[in-house]
Amino acid sequence: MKGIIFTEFMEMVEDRFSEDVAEEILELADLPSGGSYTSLGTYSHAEVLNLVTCLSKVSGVRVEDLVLAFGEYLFGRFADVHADFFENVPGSLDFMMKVEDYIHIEVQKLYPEATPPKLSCDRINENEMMLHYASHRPFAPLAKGLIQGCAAWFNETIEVSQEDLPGTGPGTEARFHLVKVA
Amino acid sequence: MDAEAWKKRYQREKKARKAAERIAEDKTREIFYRNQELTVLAESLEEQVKARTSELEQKNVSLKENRDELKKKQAMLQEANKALEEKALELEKVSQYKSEFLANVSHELRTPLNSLMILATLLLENSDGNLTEEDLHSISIIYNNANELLEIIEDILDMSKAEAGELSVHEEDLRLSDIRLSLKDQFHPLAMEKKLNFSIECADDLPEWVHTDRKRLKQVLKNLISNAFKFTPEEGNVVLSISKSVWNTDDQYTSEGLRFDVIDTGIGIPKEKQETIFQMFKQADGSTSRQYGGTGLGLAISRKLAHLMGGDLRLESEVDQGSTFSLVLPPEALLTDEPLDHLDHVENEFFLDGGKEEEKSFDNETILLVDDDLRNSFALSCLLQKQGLNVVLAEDGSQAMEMLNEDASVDLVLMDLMMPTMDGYEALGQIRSRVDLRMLPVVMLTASAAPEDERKCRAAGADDYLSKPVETSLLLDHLKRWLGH
Repeated sequence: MKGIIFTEFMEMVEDRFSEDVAEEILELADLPSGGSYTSLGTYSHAEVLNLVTCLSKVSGVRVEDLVLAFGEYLFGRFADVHADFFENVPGSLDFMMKVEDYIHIEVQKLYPEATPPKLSCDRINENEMMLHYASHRPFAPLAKGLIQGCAAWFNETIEVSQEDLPGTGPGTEARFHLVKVA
Repeated sequence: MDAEAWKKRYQREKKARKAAERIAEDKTREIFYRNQELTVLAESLEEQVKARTSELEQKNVSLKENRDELKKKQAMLQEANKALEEKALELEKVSQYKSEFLANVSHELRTPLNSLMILATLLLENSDGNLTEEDLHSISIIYNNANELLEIIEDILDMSKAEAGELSVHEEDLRLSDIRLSLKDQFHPLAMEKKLNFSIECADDLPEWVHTDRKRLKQVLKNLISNAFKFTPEEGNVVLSISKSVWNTDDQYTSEGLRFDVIDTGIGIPKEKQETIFQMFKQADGSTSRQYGGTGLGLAISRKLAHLMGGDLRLESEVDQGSTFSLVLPPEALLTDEPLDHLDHVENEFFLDGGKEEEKSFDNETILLVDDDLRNSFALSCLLQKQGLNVVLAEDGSQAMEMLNEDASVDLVLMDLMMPTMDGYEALGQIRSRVDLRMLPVVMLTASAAPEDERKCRAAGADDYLSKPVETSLLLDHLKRWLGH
């Protein structure tokens, strides 16, 4: 998994909790990398799962809620770093439709070894869309967080109902029903 | 956070920085190598381009060479083409000259033959009674040979036309009796010479007028009868039978057509030769030692002509029994253009075969005979005078006009077409332009074989048109009509 996810996660922990909490979970997680993350590197996604679990233990917040919050946070950071992706995109649903065929392709150009998830969109109407997520990583909750982060960035309210699908394990595949209500 | 934690944090960050630096270095190195690779690739591409360019240049040169060669070849072809075109033009000219030459020769041959035949006819009549049987026989041979020559000329002319696809038919209304008279005239002497019984039998229900090509019909019948004569031994019979016959049209309908049967009691033609004889230059007996002469053109042309007239030429024959050649003409041959006009001419004459001369049937009328060929003038005037006509002679159109100015008593003009000083057309024009001569009957007489000449003559105001050599009884028949007998 790309290093930026890890550095951003640690940033979030330091920002939302504290530097002490960050130190604590790193200590607790006992990671192979020792937590010396750089956005240029690539690390096992097990480490981020491990960190989230530790964060839950330390903070008492549910893992799902943490992942969701991280998703929202991550989207905001992406938007800051890659503002050019948002040019001429009118709304969140339109942006999500671009992710698979545009953004993931750009990612692959920069990092040929990257393996982003498969996203396919089925636009039902102007305000309604089905989004299918499939990955070898169990990050459907992260995807949901990203969706919400996206809606927040566009100042929209999107109702997200998630239907989990078996995939290759829990959290690896899900269908999201998105309805823009405002 | 205590100092220990800060130290850890510092160590971790340092480690992360080093990892990042290492990754960046690796990337840089990778980029360097990539760059090197790209340079090599670019160089090799450049070399490839160079090689390709020189290759293309070389190809270009060879293409140019090819093009130049092609151009040269093209020029050569054009030249050859031009030469061929010139040759074709030349050939066309030669062919045209040949046709003209043939036409001229035919004309030049017809004129003397005409006088020869007319004079022979006159002599055969033996009106002074001073010729021996032997003399008469010789004269009939002269006549028949002249006639044969004429047919050969016509066959050769027709063959050259058939080869050039120029054989054409010119259909018109004509009197059946004209055909009958001219055939009788022509073949009676021959029948006497060959000691054959020749007769023409006409069915009762035949019309007076028929509609077909006069010249071609006569030509086919002449050919058939000559053949019958040639292949029938002495004391044999040759009959021309004219009748109406059933004509089967393409659908189931039947109609009436005209049929001419030439029936002989000759040597006959074996089954396997019955088609061959209709081919050009082919005869039933084609060997050099053959018993019977001929050019082998007659039947081929005859059949072609029969087809051109819309009809057919058929043969039924049995060896040693005889042959029947049947010329059948389509129902159109019985449809005349202007039936009412012809009512004036309806005659109910009985035709007597056997060459008995008719009584003098003219009443001292004066004929102005215009012809530059003195032999012809002589022969014709002998014939006409014998029939009780006055004949005055003129050598060309201008002389004829002078005579018409001096002597108003001319009843009919009989004029040649081709003459020096003033030709027949011009003289005809002058005659028709004069009020007092407007009604004077003018009969054109010419050796020309061209069908358009008749049209031109009639358009210029000729009352009648006869082509040389003219058969005696046909000429008299026509003159009688114009002089009101």
